[in-house]
Amino acid sequence: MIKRSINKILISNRGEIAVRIIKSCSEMGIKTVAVYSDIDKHAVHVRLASESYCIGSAPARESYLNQDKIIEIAKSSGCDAIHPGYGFLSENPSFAKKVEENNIIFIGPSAEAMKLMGDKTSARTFAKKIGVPIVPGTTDPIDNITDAQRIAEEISYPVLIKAAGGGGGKGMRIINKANDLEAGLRASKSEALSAFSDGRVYIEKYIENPRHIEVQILADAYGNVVHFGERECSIQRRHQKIIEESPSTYIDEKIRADLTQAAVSLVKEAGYTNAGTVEFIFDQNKKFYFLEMNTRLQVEHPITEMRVGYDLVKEQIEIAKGNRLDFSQKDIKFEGHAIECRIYAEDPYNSFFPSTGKIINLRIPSGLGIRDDRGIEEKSEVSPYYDPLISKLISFGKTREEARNRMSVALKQYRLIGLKNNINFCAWIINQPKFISGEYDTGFIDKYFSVNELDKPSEEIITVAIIAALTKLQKNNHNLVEVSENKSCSNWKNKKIDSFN
Amino acid sequence: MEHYKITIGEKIIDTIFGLQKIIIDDKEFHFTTTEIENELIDIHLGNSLHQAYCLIKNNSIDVEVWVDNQFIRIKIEDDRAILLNRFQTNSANTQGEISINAPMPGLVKKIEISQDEIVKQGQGLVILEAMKMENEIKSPQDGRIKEIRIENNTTVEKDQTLIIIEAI
Repeated sequence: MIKRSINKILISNRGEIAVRIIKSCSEMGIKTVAVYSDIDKHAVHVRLASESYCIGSAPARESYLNQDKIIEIAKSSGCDAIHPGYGFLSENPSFAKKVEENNIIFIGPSAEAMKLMGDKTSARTFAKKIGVPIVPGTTDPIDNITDAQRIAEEISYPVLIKAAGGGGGKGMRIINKANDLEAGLRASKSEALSAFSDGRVYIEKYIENPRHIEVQILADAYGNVVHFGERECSIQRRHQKIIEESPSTYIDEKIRADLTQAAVSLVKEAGYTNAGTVEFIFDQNKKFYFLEMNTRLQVEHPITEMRVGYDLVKEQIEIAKGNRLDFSQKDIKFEGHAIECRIYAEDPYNSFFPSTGKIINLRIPSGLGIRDDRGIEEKSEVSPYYDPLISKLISFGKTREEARNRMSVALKQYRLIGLKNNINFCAWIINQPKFISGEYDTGFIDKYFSVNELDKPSEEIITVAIIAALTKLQKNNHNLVEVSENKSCSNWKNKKIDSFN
Repeated sequence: MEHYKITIGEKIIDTIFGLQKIIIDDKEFHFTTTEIENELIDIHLGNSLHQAYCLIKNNSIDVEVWVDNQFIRIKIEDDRAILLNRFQTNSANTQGEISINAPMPGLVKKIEISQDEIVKQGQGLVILEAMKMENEIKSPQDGRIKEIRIENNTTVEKDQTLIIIEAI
């Protein structure tokens, strides 16, 4: 393996992950190049990078997915490498290949390894071959309803339709009966196509209420593979993760050893390099199955970093340079407990509809054991064009209970005014008895959540809301003329909102 | 002091509002307000300090309010508006129409109903794609589809009228 130097990195992403990558690059003395769509021209990642270039209009297809434009800017701005973050082009082998063909380092696995492990169907075939258990279903993509029907009958309903080309719950549908299969297949294909430019889907047996647990891996180009333990990701809504924690409360040391070993051998056998995550699901008998591999940095990587103290982005860059891992498995010490809540711009009071708008006021909690990774700031506009994830709040504690209490307080102190968000929903989850005891699975939200569960505003809050609304309305002079009263009783007179102006 | 009818969800709250004083369902509270930057308002009520922000929606009586970490939708009617609404409701009789507006900007993926179709409350009307997810807009009431103002694969703006449903 030839060692290559990296002095300048283009980040082909936006939002919190672009900000996160810029941070590590800056610590390493590496210059950064941000790319952005015109709607993102005031975004935080654009402000923080050493240089920035507009690459097109708001729809991702015309900007963050524009491979040629991104490569052209990497070359003209003198970048040695591209970091793809997650989503967008991060799991696109033809992009990885094109980058390397232009003599730019792609920070991630080789295009071949990505193709093998990133494609859900070929990864399933490979796992099966080397003896890692997989969920029953197809190892080939399905493109017609007849095949879909035949396979669904074979493995029996309920079945799950999944996108072969990407994760994150996009393009995923649970089908309970034959009648729903055709519509589900259509919706799944169209969602997959728009999310990953790849409409291939496959079918597997839907394991009801499993636990979703994954293993973080790092591999260098010399065959050294280490794992950074597991992350429990079972708190999901519509197959999108909301809360993750590490370690998992579900598995003991024996299962943990088997699980991490399965992940390490899969990565080793595949000749995979750089960071990756092997996802497993556990059935109710604690038997695990390989689900898929994410051939990139993951959203929830900070909870691993909090426990092991390694910067995963730095390690990714070192591996991409052709360096050996300068530590081995036994050097990795696992400490304490970490939890992440994903703060989404969506309204839990209204069927979790995505919300857009301007952030008027933002107050981020901080203190011992609290980390917040975000790509937003006060006055940021959240547009409908991209993922609704706006911030990741992470807590760490010596024990799970300490981490959980820290999270609970941090969520209470988090202030995000102007944009509907799921902070109250996250707070509800982490204070649920079943979450506190750690006895939950992916069915948790469906089973326990209804909008009535959320904190209703207290009488005091309602009173304040009415005062605020009427004050604003009168100030706007909406024909609502007031009767005069004694006006001279406040020391705050000069700053006070006057109802009569 | 002026009288208002405040609606929050299904709850109707009788309010009399004046300078530094508010009477809500016959209970009197004293407060002070201070405007800080960005149209945020600090409100001292009793011994607590709260922060609020209001967005007045289209017709100026629907207000979205953030108070600390909470979000509340408020409908405000003054005496004149109450009279006006009563008149409109009476004259409209049962000929009510409701317009289904886009809750966010997005792309129309699928129109699930057709002209003159009878729909039930909760029935899916339109699939709107935003933030890479498909969201189904459902009918808020029983009725007949009077007008479809959108086409498949076109983008719509927030609050744009998509469909008009006529009460039956």
